[in-house]
Amino acid sequence: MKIKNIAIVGSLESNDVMITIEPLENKLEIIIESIVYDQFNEEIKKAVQDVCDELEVKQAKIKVNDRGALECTIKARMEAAIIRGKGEIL
Amino acid sequence: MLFSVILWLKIMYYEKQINIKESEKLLKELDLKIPKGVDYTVGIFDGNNMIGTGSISGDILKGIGVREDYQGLGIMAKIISNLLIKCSEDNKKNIFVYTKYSEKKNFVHLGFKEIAQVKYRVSLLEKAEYGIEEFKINLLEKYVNNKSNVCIVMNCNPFTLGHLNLIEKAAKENEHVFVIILEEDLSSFPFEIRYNLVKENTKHLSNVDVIKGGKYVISSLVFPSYFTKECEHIELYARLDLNIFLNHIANALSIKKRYVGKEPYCQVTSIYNKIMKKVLPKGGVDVVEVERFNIDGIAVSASKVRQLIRDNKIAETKKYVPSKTFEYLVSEEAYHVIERVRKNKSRH
Repeated sequence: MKIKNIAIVGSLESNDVMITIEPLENKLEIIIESIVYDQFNEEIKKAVQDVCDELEVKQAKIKVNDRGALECTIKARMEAAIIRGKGEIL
Repeated sequence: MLFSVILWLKIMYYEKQINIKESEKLLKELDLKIPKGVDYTVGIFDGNNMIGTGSISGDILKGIGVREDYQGLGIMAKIISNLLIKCSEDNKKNIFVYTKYSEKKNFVHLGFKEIAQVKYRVSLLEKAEYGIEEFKINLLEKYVNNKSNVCIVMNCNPFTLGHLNLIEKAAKENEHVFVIILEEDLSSFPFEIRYNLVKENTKHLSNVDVIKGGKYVISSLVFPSYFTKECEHIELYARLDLNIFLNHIANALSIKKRYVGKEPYCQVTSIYNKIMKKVLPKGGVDVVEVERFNIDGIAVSASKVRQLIRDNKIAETKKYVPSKTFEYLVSEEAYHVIERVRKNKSRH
């Protein structure tokens, strides 16, 4: 699935996450910022990667600004980001 | 059950785009300045009452405030999220915010990084894809050396014999010179022209590098006073600009001295120079102030050259500018710029 637009989803409120997705050629780049980075950066990265694998996104730049979101929140936000980035309205 | 419904209702604050006028009352209440030149304003409401607001002006977030009795409920995060989404829609990648020193932690929590501060007064933060760290890395890659470096910051609007004289003096007295040109396009001569004229006129000096100043050296972001010539907060802005220079640029390029020409005309620049002499030596950068270059007792300056252009005496500028600048001034290419200088009565 190809990312065509820049999309931004979520918010910076507590327990939420703000995700920005942008088109990028030939690689998947994931940048994570989090208030619980030291404790959970691996888990956050895995959640993001899982959604990308599931929706077959292989080329994109993804910026995650996490404010302590649960895994299910991160996955839901990721899904929305990809669908919007693809140009489908959500 | 009833309780949870009430709780749910209570946190249903909603946000909508408003006119900046509507936020004035709240900002006054909070003793905040009403921002100018605003492109977009958001308000957060509890019922009919506005409890928070924030605005965007260019790529700077301004006028952000939350009513006192609603602070600590995450409303700030709501405002910033809204503004960031708006910025992203408008494809703005570098976002800046000025804040009181005491409030900066609010922004740091939301992913902003501090680039400069004036202790206990004000702090400038950014959220950027190509921020100051990238700017520094770029400088390091291109210009790093093991010599003893000095620096000159110039606008060169346009490049005169005075500028050349200052650069030549610095080049003679030191191992290596970095000439940083202000990148902001608010002067009569466009940046590319100013930059190229400096490059061409200093070709004969092998130990001079000409660098683009980017967003972080006397730009409308860090030192707006230079372009507006308003004296309000000039000291504060000057200190911010000089702190960025000291902590980031001088640090990256290992600059030991900064050369500056004496400023006889412009009040803003002379205040800036005065503060520079106070601030830079504390951080290990010496300031060398050089007398203005004189021809027949007249200090050569770019404003003098622009005055001659305005008076329709382009031929007379030959005395004050190097050959390359003069060639440019009389070329066809310069026509529009000359027109602009004539119309523009202000110092820039």
